Parts: sequence; C-alpha cells; structure tokens
Amino acid sequence: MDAVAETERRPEHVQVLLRVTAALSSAVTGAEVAEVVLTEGASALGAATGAIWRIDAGMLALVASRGYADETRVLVARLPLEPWVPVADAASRGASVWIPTRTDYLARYPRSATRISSQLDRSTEAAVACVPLVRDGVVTGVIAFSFEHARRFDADERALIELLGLHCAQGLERARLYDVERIARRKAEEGRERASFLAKASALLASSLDYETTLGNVARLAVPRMADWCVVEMADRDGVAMPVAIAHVDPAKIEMARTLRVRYPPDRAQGVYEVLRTGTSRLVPEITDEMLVASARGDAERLRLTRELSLRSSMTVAIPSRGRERALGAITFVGAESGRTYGPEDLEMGELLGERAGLAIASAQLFQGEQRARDHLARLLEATAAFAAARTLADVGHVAIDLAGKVVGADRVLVWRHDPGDAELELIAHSGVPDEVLESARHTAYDSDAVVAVVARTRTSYFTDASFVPTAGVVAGSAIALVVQDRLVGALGLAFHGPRGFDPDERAFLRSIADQCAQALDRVRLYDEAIKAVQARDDFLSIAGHELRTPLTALHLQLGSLIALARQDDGASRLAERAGKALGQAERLGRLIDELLDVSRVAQGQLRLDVEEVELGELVVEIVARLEGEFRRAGVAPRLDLHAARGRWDRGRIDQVITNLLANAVKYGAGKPIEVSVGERDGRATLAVIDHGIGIDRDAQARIFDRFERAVSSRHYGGLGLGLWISRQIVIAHGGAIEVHSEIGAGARFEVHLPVAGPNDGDGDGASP
Amino acid sequence: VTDGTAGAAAAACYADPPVTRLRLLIVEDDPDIVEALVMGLEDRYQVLVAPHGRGALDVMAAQGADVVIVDLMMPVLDGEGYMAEHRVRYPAVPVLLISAGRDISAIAARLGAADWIAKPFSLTALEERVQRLAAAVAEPRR
Repeated sequence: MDAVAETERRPEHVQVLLRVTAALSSAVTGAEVAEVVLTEGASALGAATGAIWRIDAGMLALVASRGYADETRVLVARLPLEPWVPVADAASRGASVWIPTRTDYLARYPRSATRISSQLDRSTEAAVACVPLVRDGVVTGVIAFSFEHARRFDADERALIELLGLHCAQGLERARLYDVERIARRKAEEGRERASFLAKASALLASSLDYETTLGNVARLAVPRMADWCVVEMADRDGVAMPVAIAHVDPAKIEMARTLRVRYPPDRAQGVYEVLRTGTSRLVPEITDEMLVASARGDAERLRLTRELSLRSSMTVAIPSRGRERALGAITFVGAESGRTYGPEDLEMGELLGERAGLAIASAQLFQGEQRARDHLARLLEATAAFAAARTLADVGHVAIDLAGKVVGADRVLVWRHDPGDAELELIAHSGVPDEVLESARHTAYDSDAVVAVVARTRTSYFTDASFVPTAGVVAGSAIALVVQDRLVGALGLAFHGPRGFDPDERAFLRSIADQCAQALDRVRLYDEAIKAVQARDDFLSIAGHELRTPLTALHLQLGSLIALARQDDGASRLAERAGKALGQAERLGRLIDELLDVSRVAQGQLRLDVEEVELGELVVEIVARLEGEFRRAGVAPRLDLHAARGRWDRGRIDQVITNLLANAVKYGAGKPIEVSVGERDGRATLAVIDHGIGIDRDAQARIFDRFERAVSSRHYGGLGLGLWISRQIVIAHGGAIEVHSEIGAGARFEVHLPVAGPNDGDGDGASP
Repeated sequence: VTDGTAGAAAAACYADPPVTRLRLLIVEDDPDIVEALVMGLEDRYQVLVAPHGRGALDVMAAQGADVVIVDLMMPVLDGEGYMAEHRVRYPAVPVLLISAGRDISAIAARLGAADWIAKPFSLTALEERVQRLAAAVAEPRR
C-alpha cells in the first residue's frame, strides 16, 4: 500500500514544486511567500498543519501557520532555540528532523511532553517534519508540517519537503530584500521630496522682504506635498501666537480651523506656545484619540469638531530668533486625511525650514525697519501737505482715508467729527464700510459703549490685541480720538479683515496722522466760521450801505430842489447859498459812508472790479461837473488838460479815486488853482491832479497812503484818513500805481498810472490789492 | 384806467400828459426820493411813478414810457424781477437802474439795463443820463 502510494505521489511532487515556483514568483511579501508554501505544501503532502518560524533575537518567532487552533498559535508564537521541541531542534542544529510516529516524538522530546504536550496532545501530530530555512549557510528559520497519521518520510518525500523549505527560504529572503529595498526607496523618495520642498521654500523665503506674505506662500507650498495642514504663527509683542497663514487644500476647512482657533485658543502652557517659549521643536508621530479627548477637556462639541479634522500626526518647529531663546514664530505641519505621519527626518527638514524662515525674517525686519521709518517720514510729509490743502470736512476725511489705506492697509476707515455738546459723533467720511455697519456708525452716540465713543470721551486711543474677539468681519482695528489742545474734535477708526498687531512705531505713526487730521478738522471748522463771518459782514455792509444811502439820496434830491426853488425866487438867494452848503455836506457825508463801507471790504482783499470801457477824460469832466459846487465854494476853477486815454477799468472805482484826489486838492489847495491832466503813453494812462496848497513833507509822503493816516492834523482838516488808502488799493487792484510829488508850501502833484488793458491784462473782475 | 393798484393810483396822481414831453416812469419805493424827483422833473417831463415792479408793469401796460428809472430793492416785485418782465415785453424802452448797492454796474449789465446811477445822486446827474438814453432811442427812429 505504502509503496503504491509513494510511487503514485512522485509525479505529483513535481507538480507541487512547479505550482509553488509559479506562485512564489508573484508573491512579494513574506506573508505571501509563507502562505504559498504552506498551502501548496500541506495540500500536496496531506499534512494536518503547517507553520513557519524565523529566528528573531535568539527565539523562534511564528511567521505564518496553517491549521493551528488559536490557543496553539499563541503557545508557539515564540519558542526558545533549545532542542526540546522538534522545530527548535531543527533550527538549532541546522538539520532536518523527521519524526515518523507519536512514540518517536515522545521518546526524542520528553521535555516537550512534560512542558507543552498537555496542550498539544489533542492536536499533536502522529508524524512531524521540520526543515531548517537556510540562507548563505545561516539558519534563518524553520518550516514544519505535521500529519495525523504515522509516516515514514521516504527519500522523495524528504526531498520534496526540503525543496519546499529551500523555496520558502529563498522566497522569504527575496521578500525581505524587497522590503528593505521598498523602505529604502520610500525613504529616498521622502528625502527627495523633503529636499525639494526645502529648496523651494527657501527660494520663496529669499524672494521677498514681505515675510508675512512669504510665510503664507511657504505654508501653501507645504500643502499637500509635506502636510495636509500647515499653519504659520508669529509671536506678537506680548508673546501671543498670531496665525499669519493657515493652509489646507480645502478652503472650507481653513475657515473651520479659524473658527476653532478663535473659539478654543491654543493652550498657553503647551503646544505651539511651548515651542515659541523654548525654541524647541515638538514632534507628535501619532495623534491618538486619547490625545484629542484630553485636549477637548470634556467639551463634547470641541471633541467632535477636532475629530472631524482627522488629525494623524504633527510637528511644530520654531522660527528661531537670533540671540533670543524665545522664537519669532512657529510652523506646524499636520498629517490628516492623507494618513501622513512625521518622523525624525521630517523634523530635521522642518527645523531647517524654520531656521531659514528666521533668517529671512531677521533680514526683512532689518530692511523693513529702515524702510518703514523712511516710509513713515515720507507719509507724514505727504499727510501734512494733503491736510493743509483740505478745505472742507469731506476733504479732510478723504485725506485720512487715503493715508490709512496706503500706509497701514486698513480695510475700513471711518472719520467722525464732534463739536462740544454734540450728542452724536458725526460720520464725515468712510471707506470700505458695509452698509449694515454704516447705519450704526452714522449714529454713534457720544455716551455709548461703542469703542470709538469711549475713546472719544477719554481722549485716548485703542489698538486691538490678541484678546480681541473678531466681530462683523473685523479681526483687528484701532480707534483714536482726534484732539486739539485737549479739545475733542472727532475720532478716527481703522479696521482690518485679517489679523495684525500694532507695534509702537506704528501706533506712534497712526497717532501723529490722527493729530494732523484733528488739526485739519479744527482748521476747517475755523475756516467755515470765518467764511460765515465774512458773509455776515458782507450782508451787513450791503444792507447798511443801502440803508444809509437811501435817505442820503432823498436828502440830496430835496436839497437840490430847495436850491432850484430858492433860485427861482430872487429874494431867497441866501437860502440857496445855505442849501448849497447843506448839499455839500450831504455829498461829503456820502463819501464818508462809502469810505467806511469800503474799508473793511478792501482790507479783506475783496475789492470787486466791474470792468468796462472808460474814457478817462470824459470821466474827469463828469466828476468836475458833479463837484462844481465844491469848487465854487472854494473859489477855484480847475484847469483841465485832457488827452485821449481809453481803457478797461471799473468806472465807479476810478471815479472814486479821482473824486478823492480832487476833493483833497480843494481841501488842501488853499484856494489856489487846481490842474487836472489826462494822457496815455505806452499802454498806460496817466492822470495827474495838481494843487498849489500847503504841500506834504517828505516823511508824510511815505505814510499818506496808509490806513487812517493823514499828513496834517485832524483838528484842522476833517476826514477819516481813508481816502488815499482806498484810492491806492483801487489803483493797485487795477494793476496800476499812485504816487505823490510834493514839497511843503509848494502844493502837491498826485499821479495815477493805469494800464489801459485793465486789471490782469483786462480779463475781468476779481482783482485784489 | 388800470386795475387800481397803488402804482396806477400814483401814476394817475402825477400824470399830466403834454404829448411832446418825454414820458418817464420812476419805479421807487422811497416816497421822499419819489417826491424830490417828481418835483425836480415834472416841469420838463411827463412823470409817472410806481412804488414797485408790479405797479410799474401795470403802468407800462396802461400808458407806456420812453425811459424807465428803476430802483433795485423794492417790495412786491423788485428791480431784478421787473427787469425780467421788461426785457421781454418792452425791449425797446431803455431802463436806467438806480441802486444804493455797490456792484451796480455789473448788475445793470446782467439785467440788461441801458445805464445805471448809484445812490446818492444829484438830479442833474440823473437827468443827464435820462437825456442820453432818450437821444439814443430817438435817433434810430428818425
């Protein structure tokens, strides 16, 4: 029977070996190799069980088994390399062990019987074959098959099992080599990836001095090649970690992370704060659920949200600061959805990146510090000029908006105005403010709890720090009271949509912008008041002029009629003379009123010229005719020497000048002849009024054109002392000149020179002295 | 003759129409000035008066005038308002603007007045201007 069975089995052996060889060619891992050898071997041999151990640290470690009960597998998982069980015997001696029967087994391995057979009894084999696995002459493990029945193990069978052992050893070795190679390749790839990332990130860091943007770019570069999450945080002055960049492939997740961060700020005692404090990196190769539970501190919602991020592994590296223990910031890489985990090589890469970021920031800050100081100075100069040019509240507001936008990049700017006693701050300019916020900003009660109202009341300034809870899209901001000499004039508000701190330089700079804004607001207020005052004065003058001249007109005309009536009646010639004198006084009164009303206007530079074509000689004739009564009373008849002189002037004003000069000539001419000449030469008309009276001394000649000046005592000669001053202003407004030539006792010659083209080459009115 | 406004009443009061004389309409709200002007002018001119622009339009509609002398500041309808109507209805009738204000020459030019005279003025000065205006109108007619 046995012989027949053996011979029948032999061709089958070849088939088994072919199948094993074919199957092993596609087996890659050690587990696959073991599976193939055990399955094919056991079925070909009709074995009850099969198992493979490898030698590991002086013990036999079970690699794979087939047909073992669970408790058996546990029992034989690790066996000492001592020859009291067949597998250990084979492995330790490096020779196959063939045990045909249970009797043989118990005879050869009595210790096994006492030590473990009680458990093995039920399954312990009637026959056992153990073949050592040998590689390069070294035993690396053992393969064993057991059989339910006694077996002789003839030469063919032994050869088959030993060949299976050989295949197994080779397959396992190949699998091991494959593993080694695979791990090495993966490590090489990871290394290359890390090196490439580091190179690109370093290039980014070196590319710009705007390190916050650059760090943001580095964070985005890290995702997804190096991390599922990358967060860059910078420590502000108070050591608070401000995230400058959060990167993830999914923007919705970034939003979620921001929310989480705001709701649950990082623990100051550990994590990123520890890294910032000590400058030492922190590697968490595996983030366990227990860690999440611990960090949630019993907050179920927090735990749920954190779990949703499926965090696997993380590392946080410091961005070191030169010469300081505390770090400038930290970069955190997190493996999540991708299953990426971090090890020492990753940490090494991260630390290198942190160092480079630190260097980049140090040089950027050095440069930016200088740059910013220069920039601030330039902006302040610009601000001074811009505020100085602002004429209205809106102008001031826009200058402030422009500066705040340009210099600090504020997303929203608001400028309020406030006058003492106002119940509300009046919004005079704004930019970037959403409608829903604008409504409340417009009506900010002075005594409300709004930050700007508090700042205004206390005459202080406020800058947000890390404790600020973002509201209505505002993540950072500032409010500054606008104060001039302890007097509140308004408030300035700035808001930012992204996180930012305010260092002392920036605070000082913003305060000085606010100071300038305050002064500009105050100046505009004063300017407005001045405009109103001037308007009120002009209105008054206009009304006063009308009110004074109207009765004077009636007086004039009535006296005129009186004279006419008196002349008709021969007996009343003395009455006519008296009435004539009264008319002279009325005319003088008229001129005084004109002077008085003119003086403030002219002094304010508001002399308005209504230019028209004027023939100077004709005007002189008209004036002389009008003053006929005065000449007669003084006993003089003016001699006229008139030549053509036509130009574009204000007829009424030039009339005023000539009348004034003639009236002066009569007044100071001591009754001697008066001459008037008019001519034109080289585009300039000249009018001369000459008297032969008391004359003017040299000192007085310099003063007579000043306001309230006269050459002679007011006790002897009346008048306001305004006539020549107004005359001179009128002549100057026309682009001309007035001069006097005189000697004491020898009379005076007043000359008026006027360009015939008129004021400003005759382009109309509006000239001022 | 007219609808019985104050202007028309005043006009009726002073109306004394020898046909050959120039007909002047004085539009002025100050009675003392009006009285003095009428006294000074009525022996040589036919003088009509109106206390404001509205009355002046009535007088013009009823009787017409060769020259209109208009004050600027008046109740009811001021000089400026009157001029707006006058320009449209009586473009051929010259207007002499009188005012106590300062910028009268510019205002006169703007309103289309033929000439102006500033208060206070003498009767002689006024009459000179009236004559000049009347002559300027009369000449092209011939």
